[in-house]
Amino acid sequence: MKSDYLVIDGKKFNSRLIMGTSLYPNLDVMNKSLEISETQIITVAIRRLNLSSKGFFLDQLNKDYYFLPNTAGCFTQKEAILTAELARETLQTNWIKLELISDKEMLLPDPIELFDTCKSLVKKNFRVFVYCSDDPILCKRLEDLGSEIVMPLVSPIGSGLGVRNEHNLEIIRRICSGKIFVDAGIGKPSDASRIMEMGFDGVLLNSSVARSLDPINMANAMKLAVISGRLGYKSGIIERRNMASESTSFKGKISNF
Amino acid sequence: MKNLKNKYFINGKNFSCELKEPYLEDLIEIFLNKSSLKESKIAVAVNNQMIERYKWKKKKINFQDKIEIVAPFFGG
Repeated sequence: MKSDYLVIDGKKFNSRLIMGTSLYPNLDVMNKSLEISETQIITVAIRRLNLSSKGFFLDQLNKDYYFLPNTAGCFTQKEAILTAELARETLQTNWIKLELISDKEMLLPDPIELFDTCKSLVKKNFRVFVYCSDDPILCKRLEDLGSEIVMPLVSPIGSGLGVRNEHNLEIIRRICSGKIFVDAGIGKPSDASRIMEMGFDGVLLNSSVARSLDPINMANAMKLAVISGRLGYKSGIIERRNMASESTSFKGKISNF
Repeated sequence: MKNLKNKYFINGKNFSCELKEPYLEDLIEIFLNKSSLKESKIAVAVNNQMIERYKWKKKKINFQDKIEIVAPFFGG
């Protein structure tokens, strides 16, 4: 197969897996998990400086990564835009993962507030990776606004429920011509593989690795799942049939008796 | 004459320090002095407006101003 780079904002990436940096049991496990996943992009939050911490979070990473700051925890357009601007100032990147949630229980995106905020951020020259619900029309509208990547959930953040509405995801993939990732809800490696087999451009995940019993091995499993699903998609998966189709020809069979 | 300690509101808490003329850059320096953290990796907002680094020197602070000093952190 020819080189299959993921191109974001003019930059080529070998990995189609974006990893979160939260919830790991400790820094060593986080660093090893990120390393074995071969991710090149990691997402980070923007939070008030804690003077009692020994060092900056960024100084504790063992490797260089592209940073995708996020607006996790924002409920309003004002909060999200200020967080994005602060992220740009501190990390010197135009990339922002826009998360704008409606409630603390389900952490579901607020589609109306999200749309307006996405529009404002694009106008402010941000490259917006927009986390949204799996509504095909919303995804298409967000793409048309100029989002860098549209990232529908497959189920609520941290739920590990996996793909709940495959039909919507199929429609999203069909009607959106740009880059589509899946963000949130992945539980098992097979979820990631399934998404990639459907032709999605990549997967962003965190909890399914960080909260597993063995995050380092799970990170490896997720990497392989993403690669496997992508390779399957690119190789042309056979069409489904309701009836059997023999793999061994009847021709030359000894007799019918 | 000794300066009186002024109170500022940083990251949701009161912060007291002596400053003859309260400019943002000086206030950040004093705030970070109490830790081993460096200012190169932070970003600052005053009253919900991001203040670019090059403006810190000339940005005057009023006592009631709400200052947020942030940095990248673990996130998913």
